[in-house]
Amino acid sequence: MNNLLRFVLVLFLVNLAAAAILAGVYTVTRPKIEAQKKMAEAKALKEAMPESVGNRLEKVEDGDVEYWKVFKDENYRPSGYVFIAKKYGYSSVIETMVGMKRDGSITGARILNQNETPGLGAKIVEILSDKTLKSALKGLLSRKKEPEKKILPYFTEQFKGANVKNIDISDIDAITGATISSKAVVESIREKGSEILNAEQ
Amino acid sequence: MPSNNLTVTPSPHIKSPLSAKKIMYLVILSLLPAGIAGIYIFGLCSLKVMLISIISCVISEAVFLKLRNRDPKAILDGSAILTGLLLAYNMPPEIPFWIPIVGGVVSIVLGKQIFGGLGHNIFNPALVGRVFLQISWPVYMTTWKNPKWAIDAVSSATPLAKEGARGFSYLDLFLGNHGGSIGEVCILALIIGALFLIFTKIISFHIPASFIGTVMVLAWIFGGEGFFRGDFIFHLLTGGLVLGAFFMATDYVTCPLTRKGKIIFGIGCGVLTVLIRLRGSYPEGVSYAILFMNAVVPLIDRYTKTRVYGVSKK
Amino acid sequence: MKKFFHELNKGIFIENPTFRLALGLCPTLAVSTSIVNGFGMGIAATFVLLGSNVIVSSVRDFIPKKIRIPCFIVIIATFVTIVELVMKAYFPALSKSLGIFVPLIVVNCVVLGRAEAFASRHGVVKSIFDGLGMGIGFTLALVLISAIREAFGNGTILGLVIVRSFEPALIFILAPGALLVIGVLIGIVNYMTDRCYTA
Repeated sequence: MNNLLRFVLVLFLVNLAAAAILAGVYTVTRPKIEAQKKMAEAKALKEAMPESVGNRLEKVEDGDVEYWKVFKDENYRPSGYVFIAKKYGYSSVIETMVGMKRDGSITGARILNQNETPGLGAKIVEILSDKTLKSALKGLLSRKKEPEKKILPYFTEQFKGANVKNIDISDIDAITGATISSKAVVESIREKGSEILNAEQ
Repeated sequence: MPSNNLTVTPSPHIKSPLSAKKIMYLVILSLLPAGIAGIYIFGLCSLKVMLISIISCVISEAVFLKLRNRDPKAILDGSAILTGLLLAYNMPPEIPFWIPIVGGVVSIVLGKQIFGGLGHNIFNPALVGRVFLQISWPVYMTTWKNPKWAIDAVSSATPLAKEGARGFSYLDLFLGNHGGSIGEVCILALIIGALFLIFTKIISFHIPASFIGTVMVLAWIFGGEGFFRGDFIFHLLTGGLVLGAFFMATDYVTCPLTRKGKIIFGIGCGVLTVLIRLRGSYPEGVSYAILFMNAVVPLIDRYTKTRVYGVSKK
Repeated sequence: MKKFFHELNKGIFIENPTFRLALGLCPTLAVSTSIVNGFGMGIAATFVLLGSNVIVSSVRDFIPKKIRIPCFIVIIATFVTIVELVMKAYFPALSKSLGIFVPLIVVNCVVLGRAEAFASRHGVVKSIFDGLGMGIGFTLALVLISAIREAFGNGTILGLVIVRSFEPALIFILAPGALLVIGVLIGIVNYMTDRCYTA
């Protein structure tokens, strides 16, 4: 009995100490973690629609349709929309966040989720680094700081400027060997985008 | 009793006049019609791939045998040539020349020699090479070329790709008049070779029959919209099913020894093939299915061991 | 001092957790896809190892034998949670690419293994060196594996393209490549150690 009491006491003390330490660490890191989360969200929105930053957003939920209206200035009419398009590709549902203006022209697109075949369909999120070992060494030796260039996934970058109403797989360069995944992205954007435009007008 | 683990069937054991070497060359012979068909359909580039692949396999085998101080004469047993040939049959005809080279090295070194050489390999070496290439360079391994007489010279989607061109007639698919891997397209030629092997009793019909049968039944049930509406003939005639079932699943070293075991092995291959074809993220499941079942062969052998006559069950 | 150096050296070479003890292979397989990930994981695990070794060895006389495992787990989990929170707050990108494998350090057998096999039986200073050695050994192994995988599988080193014309073999970035690389490295390391110690 005495032993049992000792076990309970020891475990209790160990847990108490652990809880106290973790509470301390959590209080210190929480504001930082939340700031990081907000930054990540803002970044995703900004990539889809640069105008959305600092402007009023309004979430619309209409049955299955769910999207954000972006208001610029104090207008009553939204200047654009941000939505998430989903469609089954080759082996997974591909989710794309898309921003478009009121006329349907795409301001940016970014794949949020996909689980396509590595090396084929998964290339829809591929980013080609332009930095080589040679250029990096050169840069290191010359000590001249070159401005960081932002590299974006090349597949979704080609959507910029296209119109959701008539964007088609034939207008863009599909990923080699992954026609089905490429098509799914394009079609999901066209379907969802047109649906929202129709609902708004 | 160590011998008990090796002898699966009870005596008497009849010694066959066929040696391993003879069998290898007979299998190569039976594969020739499919190769000739591949060259006829896609042109001389098919021959090039086959030669590079075979040479790569033979050289890696020779180098490895030398490194391990084994008798270098073993390269003449035909197994390296057979591996190289099977590997080439799994590739599209217009593939960069270095892919069959890498494939040959991987097949022989990782698929066979690392386990101890012929007879000790757990997995079919040609399939190890093929899967390595398929995962590593999927774009090259799935860029098919149309037959040389087709007007459309641009690569087209393989018929097995999920939304693939269904415009082929069964006759076209049977004769190989469509894009695909060198040795997989012409079903007619493959069947000629397979019949030869079965009639000379080099392979038994158990694995191919249960493998293909399972694929067809499951494709019929689950392959279409709703149940029992799948196009099972399409599943039979496309991809590497015929080549895999007759020539790769039946590899002596990597398949079970008893009849019952062979049937279990074939059914397992079939189930996995359909599962990967319909639900997986790669278009073709035959090679993955066979490799997977290869890994289970020791287990199958253990549980299908024939009871010795006159010995009680327990 | 020589004794302490032995403890340090032990973790790095003779009893390297990955290549000799074959412990903690699950995170090794999963995160060694780029040097940055491998190094980040290694440092996180080293911190946890060091922390748990120190605490476990300093409270070892106070904890009854029968409940030592739950106590160790609580101590380890505390350190892991600290690592996770700090990483989320200050290295969000790394935290995102390591994902679930940071919290999973709790069940990394290297950490519990050292707490049980070493720290609960030795003094604090010795345990510090043991934890450091094991941590460095784990980190080095991870960096080595991930360097090979990144170079062959992605054609890059630290995100820099090596040669443009090289077409990376994707298999090395995926799970089967990890198994291949680890298998070959374990073979080489065992061959070398055998030669060093039998000669």
